[in-house]
Amino acid sequence: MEQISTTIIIIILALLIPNTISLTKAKLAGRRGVRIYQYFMDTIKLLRKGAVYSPTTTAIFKIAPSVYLGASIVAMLMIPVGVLHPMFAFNGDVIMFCYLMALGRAAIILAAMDTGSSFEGMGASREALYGALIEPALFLTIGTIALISGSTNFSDMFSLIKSDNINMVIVMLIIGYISIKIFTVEMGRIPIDDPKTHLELTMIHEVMVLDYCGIDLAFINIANWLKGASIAMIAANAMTTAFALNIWLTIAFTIFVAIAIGVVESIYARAKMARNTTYILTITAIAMLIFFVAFILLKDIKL
Amino acid sequence: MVFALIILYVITLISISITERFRDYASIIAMQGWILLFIVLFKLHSIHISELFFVLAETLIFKAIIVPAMLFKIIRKTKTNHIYAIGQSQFPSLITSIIALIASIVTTYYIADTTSNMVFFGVALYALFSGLLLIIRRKRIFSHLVGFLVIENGVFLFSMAIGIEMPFLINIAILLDILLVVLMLGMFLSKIGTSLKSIDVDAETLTTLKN
Repeated sequence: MEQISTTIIIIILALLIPNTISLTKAKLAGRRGVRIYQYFMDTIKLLRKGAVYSPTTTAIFKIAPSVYLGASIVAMLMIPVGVLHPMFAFNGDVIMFCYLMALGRAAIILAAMDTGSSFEGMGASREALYGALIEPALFLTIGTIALISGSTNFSDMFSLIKSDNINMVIVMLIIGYISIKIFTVEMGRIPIDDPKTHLELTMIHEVMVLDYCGIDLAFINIANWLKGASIAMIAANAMTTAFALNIWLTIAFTIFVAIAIGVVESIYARAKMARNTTYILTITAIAMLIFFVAFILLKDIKL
Repeated sequence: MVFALIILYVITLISISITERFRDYASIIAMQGWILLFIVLFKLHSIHISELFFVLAETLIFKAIIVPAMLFKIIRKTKTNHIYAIGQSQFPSLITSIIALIASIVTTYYIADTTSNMVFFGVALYALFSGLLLIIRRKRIFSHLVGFLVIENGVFLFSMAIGIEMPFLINIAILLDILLVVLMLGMFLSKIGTSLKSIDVDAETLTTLKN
């Protein structure tokens, strides 16, 4: 029952996050904004439609959305919500989570290259570069939590961390911050990418899926949301661990992440493409710093 | 508290490698001055009151107030705010800075002994590397001055690493050095700033010329 509750909560949050970001942006711009379930309805509509394939594409293009969705679902099933245990839990599942994220990305990159479109190839190239730069940050962040807790199991990692040490609280807060940054990069949000852009030359995530429609596009959208919810949940778990691990606090923090991203997207423009690599590598640098700091703390080296 | 300040100090060193404007350099130097002040306040409370007062006054007046104020004044006078005449990605600088950070950590882990504080030693080493990288990688003289100030802050942290405050004379000598360098550069840039800027621009234009 506990595992089912965890899964349901993450699915609901996965649907809520993009809507909350969109709604926050609309409210700050003085618009009414979309209904809270609009994206869900759009995806239902897409799921009813068939798919159209270009004759230049191969089987890779057809199976990529299913691989991406499958990887995202399995990754999502490993994430706990506060003290609630996830569906799958085993030693080393943190490594599998990272690889599932990479698998989904690889599938979409291959599919984009399979179309033979120069635009999609460009998007795939950017995605591969940004993925290569952000994955060390993801590994280091999760590695730091594993180092502090002494567990490589998502289910136990957050509950094993004691919040009585102020230094560990600082480390967990920074881990939460880094996870939010990873979320913005993985989900292609501002300042890395603008999901609302209409110019193919400036796109990253959107340009890779230009040739998809109907049920395949729905699969990709759902996979994106689940991936985003999983990373946002890691950020929320890290932040709440700093104070007290609690289900409601974790859920509230996940919604707060969505609102914060909506606010940031309302007041900031996207960065120049040339600046993105520096931005992502800075996140990795801070993740590396926190990893070493956690190592020093565990060695009990006094300041 | 010292722990949080040290993390913040390292983050300022990372950010100095990707900074593109001189005004941000001056702000980071000011921030480092304030961080050092609080580190001194929390770390050196056990030393003699007169020595503590001297170190605190030195950090507050010179590192946190006078030097940053002079840097801002130089920027205002010379009206140069960009590190490069054209916008460039700071990706290579960040890569070298990360390599320097890893090198500092590895070096500290292998050479630091029980008589020195490993954390302060590592951060001081990284500050030295960061300052050197600024001097080597950047062309404009203002960056070299900032690199020198970063190195000086590193030396200050080294003195913390070995657990004793620096003798008065050495400390005063370093302070005078910094003050004179900033003063001389201020005069130098304010007198020949316009010519320097035009030379700089010409040099950059010449590099883009083709046959």
